[in-house]
This record gives sequence, structure tokens and C-alpha cells, in this order.
Amino acid sequence: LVLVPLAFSAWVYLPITHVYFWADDFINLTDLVARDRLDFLLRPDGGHNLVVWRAVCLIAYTLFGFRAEPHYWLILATHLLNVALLFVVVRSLTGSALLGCLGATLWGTSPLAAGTLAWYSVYGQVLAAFLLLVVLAQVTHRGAAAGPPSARAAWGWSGCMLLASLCFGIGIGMAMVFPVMFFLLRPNAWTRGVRIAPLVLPLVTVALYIGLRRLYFSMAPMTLVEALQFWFMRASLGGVPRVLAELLGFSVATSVRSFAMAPGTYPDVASMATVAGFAVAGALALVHGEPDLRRAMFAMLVLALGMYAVIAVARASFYVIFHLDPAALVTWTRYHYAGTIPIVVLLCLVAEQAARLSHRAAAVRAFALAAATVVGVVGFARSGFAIEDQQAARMSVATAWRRCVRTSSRSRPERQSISRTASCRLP
Amino acid sequence: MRADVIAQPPGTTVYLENGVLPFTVTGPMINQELLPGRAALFVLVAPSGVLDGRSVRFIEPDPKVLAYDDRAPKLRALLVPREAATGPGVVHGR
Repeated sequence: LVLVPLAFSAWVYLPITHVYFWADDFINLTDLVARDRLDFLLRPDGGHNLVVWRAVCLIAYTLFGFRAEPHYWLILATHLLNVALLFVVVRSLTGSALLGCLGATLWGTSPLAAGTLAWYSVYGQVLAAFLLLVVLAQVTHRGAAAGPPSARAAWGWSGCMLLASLCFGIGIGMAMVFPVMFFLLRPNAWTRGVRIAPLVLPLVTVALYIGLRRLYFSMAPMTLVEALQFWFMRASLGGVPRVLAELLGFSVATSVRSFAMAPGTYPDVASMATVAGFAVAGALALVHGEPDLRRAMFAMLVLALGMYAVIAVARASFYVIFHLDPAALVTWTRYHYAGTIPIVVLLCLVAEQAARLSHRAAAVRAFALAAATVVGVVGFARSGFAIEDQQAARMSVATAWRRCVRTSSRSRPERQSISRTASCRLP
Repeated sequence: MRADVIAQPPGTTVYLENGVLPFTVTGPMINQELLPGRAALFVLVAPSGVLDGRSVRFIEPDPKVLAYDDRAPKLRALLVPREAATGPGVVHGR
């Protein structure tokens, strides 16, 4: 069954392999070639510590150079790996491969992923989601639930979460709430040797975040943007609850409605009804559900709050200082790649609780999957969904290079080499 | 212009107008200080600043862009003020 979400996700997101670099991508690539390695790796950007993402970029650049296509194939491959991992997680939590298929398909094909998958600069979020899903797949593994995990496993999972915090800012949210999520999913892990690693993880995450920034800015000047970032954050804390609520609302509405929701319509009546329905069903399942599902639901709720709280803190200034409508701000789809993982898992857990209340549980699960598939396929076909492939940027870059090379180089091999590197034809 | 360049022996320094990258490349949040014109693209394919045996430099007229203190070192080396683009053996291009 895992092939179903993989096939649908590949169908929707195969076009990202034609996307070109854009905006921040050029700054990152310029930094990669024009700074020394340590400077590039440690360099924070926009409040993110990106050591792991930058290390992956460095390896990818060494392998693929400046051609965009292989980089986007790598992003697609990572996304498909994430889809498969989410299938495993949902199947473990619900005990149902059908619901695993539903959750992985819904998330893997979600139009919300486009903003992240089609922009190389945000690949760190895909990597952070990968690390989260690797950990979740192991923590929720049914066969391992009989006894407490080993201390070694707990250190390994906590280490993965620490690495996630160095992929992208949202990874900090994952790491900060990991202890709560972990002990909800594996209550038997509250043993003397096992609990140390998860409990110290938030402290280590904060210390590493501050320490790496201090280290870098002791070697290089702090840019105005980086300096203002934290001033803006502190000045905008009052707006965090409103932005957080809008982030969660948009995440729920778009995750559930997927391609049946027209872009730019949030917050419409249908979205509000979807959010209200999701909240009521979730609350009922949390109060009256079976213990294993309730614990998993609380864990996903905590995870969603942790990830979206980081985004809300970082972006509340757009609302408080720059007076952007929060309902519009939260529709920037690149904020939602990792954040929608717990939302979709929650939906599957609610569906599983509904199935268990029925005398025909298998039929309920199959109906949920069939209905979601039909609505998704029809919605996708009617949506006119298209990925911005940045071909205008490719043309502009080709023009700029053509001028440089025409003026300064007469060597045919050199021109051909640059042409290959730049994925464009030079005269 | 191309003929002029080709006529120069290797070792010549070629000066090009840096220009401003279009919105289609930079997007709405990136300005000339952060991504300084054609030099920012050129450094990707020739980080050493040498192409076909000729040094290439980019004439950046804005002093604020030249003085930007967080510039990557190899990119900084490619940017020059207009008054630096003089001397024998220098070839200018647009």
C-alpha cells in the first residue's frame, strides 16, 4: 500500500525537477563558492542555524555543481522518503495500513508542500521533517512498544532532533517539544537511564543555537537583518497567539481540504467549517478516545504547537510591526511543510477512533481512504495546480552569463563548460 | 567588443559593467547589496575571477554596495569602483 501515496506524491510533485534557482538560492550558492567552508557552514540566516542543511548543500554542490535539476531531484527523493516514513508512522499509531495510506497520500500530495519543495533555499525544512519522521517511525514502532527503549536509542533519537534544529528553524520547535511528545508516545520510557537524553535535549538545543550564533558573529560582522530579527521578535511577542491560531487554522483547513480548496480563499466559510469540524472531532476523540490513541493525539498536538509556535514567534512582527493581515501571512505555503505532519496524523487518529466505534471498522477505514482519494484526484484535476518553475530566472541568468562570457572568453571548451554548469546555452 | 577582448593577450583584465539583476532573479526581498549584479552570478562559475586566462572585474558604481561589510571574500574581489578600471591593457565591456 505504501506505493499508492508514493505514486500520487510523485505524480503531483514531479514538476519540481524543472524548477530553477531563485532569490535566496543565489545568495546561498554565492556564499557556498565565495566564502571559506567553515564560514559557509556556520553562517546563520534569517534567525535559522543551518549547519546541517549547509553541509548537505555542500555535498550536493560538489556532486552536481550549479545545475538546478539534480538538486531538485534530491529534494523530490527526500520528499518521497518522507511520504514512506509517514506511512509507517500512521500505520504504527493506528494499526491500519489503509489509514497509513490515507495520511501519507494526503500529506505527500498536499498543495501546501509546493512552497517548500519548489524552493531550494527551504530544503532544510524537508531535511528536518525527514529526521523527525525517522525518529517518529522508530519511537512508534509497534514491535518495540512492548518494553522500554534502550538508553542508546533515546540518545540517538535526541541526537537526530538536535540535528533537525540545525537544518531549519522549525527543527528547534521539534526539539523543544520532543520530551513531551516522546513520553506521551512511549510512557514506558520514563526510566532512569532512558529519560536523561530527551530531558536535556531542549537545554542543549537552546545552548547550541545561541553558542553557534555567538561563535559566528565573533568571527564576522552581524548583518542589520540578523540584528533586527531578534529586536522584532521581542517587540512582537504580543501578536504570537493570533498568528499561531491562524497558522494552525490554515494548516488544518488546507491539509483536510487539499486540492478541493481553491488557493487564496482562506479564511472562507468552508475553511472555518473544516477547522470547527476538525476541532470538535479532535476534542471528542481526546476526551472519550481509547488510551493509546489519546496519547498519540496529545503528542501530535504538542508537536504541532511546538513547530508552529517557532514560526509564529519569528513571523509575528509581520503582523505587529508591518501590519500584515495574519490570515494572509499564514497562507505562505513554505511555512507548512513539516507543520502539517502532526495535523495529518491527528486526522488519521480521529478516523481510527471513529472506525473503532463502528462494528465495521475495516469498512470505515476503507471508506475514508476511498473518499479522500476520489476527492483528492477530482480536486487536483480541477485545481489547475501549477508549480512556479522560475524559468524567467533561468533566462535572466543565461543572459547575464552570456554577456560576461562573450566579452571575456574566446575558449570554446570553457564556454561549453559554463553552459553545462548553468543549464543554459551560451553562444 | 568581443574582437577587442580576443585581441588582448592572456593576463589582461576585463572590466564589465556590473548592472542590476532583474526582479525575476532576486525576488522582492533582495537588493543590490545582498546580490550585487552580474558579479554574483559570475562568481558561481569562476570563483577565481579568471576566465580563459583573463581576469574579469565588475564596475559597481554604488559606493554602498562596494562597502557592504558582509560580502563573501571572493565576490568582494570581483567588484571595483569605476575609477579603478583604468590603465594599459584594460578592456571595458557592457
